[in-house]
Amino acid sequence: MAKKDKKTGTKNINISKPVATALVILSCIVAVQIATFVLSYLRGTPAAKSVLARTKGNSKADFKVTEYIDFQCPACARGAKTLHEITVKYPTKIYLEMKYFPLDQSHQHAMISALYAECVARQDKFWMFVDLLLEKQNLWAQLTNAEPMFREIAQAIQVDSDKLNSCLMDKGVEETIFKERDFGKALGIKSTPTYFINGKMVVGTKSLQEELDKHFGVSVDVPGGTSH
Amino acid sequence: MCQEGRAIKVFFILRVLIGGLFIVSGFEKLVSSYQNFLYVVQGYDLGNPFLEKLTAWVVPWVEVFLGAFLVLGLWLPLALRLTWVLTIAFITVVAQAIVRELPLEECGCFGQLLSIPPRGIIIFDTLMLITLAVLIVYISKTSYMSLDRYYLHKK
Repeated sequence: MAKKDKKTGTKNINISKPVATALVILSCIVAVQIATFVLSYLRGTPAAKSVLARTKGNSKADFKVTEYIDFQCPACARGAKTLHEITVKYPTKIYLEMKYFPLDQSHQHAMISALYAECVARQDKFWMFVDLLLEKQNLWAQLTNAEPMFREIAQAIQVDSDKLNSCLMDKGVEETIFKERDFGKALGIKSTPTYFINGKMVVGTKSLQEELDKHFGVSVDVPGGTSH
Repeated sequence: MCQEGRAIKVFFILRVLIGGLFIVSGFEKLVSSYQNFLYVVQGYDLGNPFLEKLTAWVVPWVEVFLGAFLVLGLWLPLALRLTWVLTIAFITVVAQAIVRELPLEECGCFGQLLSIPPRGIIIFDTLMLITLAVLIVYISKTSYMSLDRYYLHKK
């Protein structure tokens, strides 16, 4: 294949056009695989494990779901509602934990709603608060200041106001939420809702619906099912 | 002669820029989780789950390969035409999302690299479509410093 150039005495390697095409395609594939490997190695295991997980259901269940949520995300609200229904219908068959992933660049109240949720969680009323928060999402999402509504929800579930107020002033709470979000980013999360179902990453309510259909053997209707 | 040379270089630069854009776009989607781009595709509500999954698998690779062929100038007439068809497909999908008023905040075209709203991407893709058409029409200028030309001279 290599021909010696008569003028320069150097060898010219002859690669036909089809072979060059194949080499280009192969190079692209290899480059992508290497980049994927390098990036996953660099992401590695985050230095700090997520310090808080909000859980319910049966910890020994076969169907374990970790949900990364932004409380102002409409698709998250739909997905969370469905998962709540599943935990009620099949309480021993599912284990659910919720983690924070506020998209504060897209959603004005993402961070503040997460702060309230975390502070209420420290009074062991997380799920009651989150259920009401997501139920009323379309009301508070439109407001310029949603805090009065968060307080109203907290009062409705009889959260201690003094403890809530001092918790909200604690910078450590914000750091906790940021750490959890950074953990999520290290796992490759880019949008919400993102679920890890038995370790498998599932993004959005349509894919969640497919997994629920597969596992529970019934058609579970996730309302909407489109992206937020 | 100088102006002709400059014009040829402009065609070459445009070809490489568009190719580079497609490589970066496809690459970004491929190195992050497939689920992330699937979620973007699902947002366009194509109606058929199998089609959505197929799109999410195939499109990033097509972008990378076409981008590479454009940059290297390999099989240029075919690569340019396929890129043109792909751009029309993008415009169609985004336009139907706008018409149907689907709740999309950004097009998801470049993953996390760039956030462009759907209406913005229509304008951008239309400009690219016109540029590609010009590159196709003036293929002899576009194939400046291309592997196609190298193989042509070899014959």
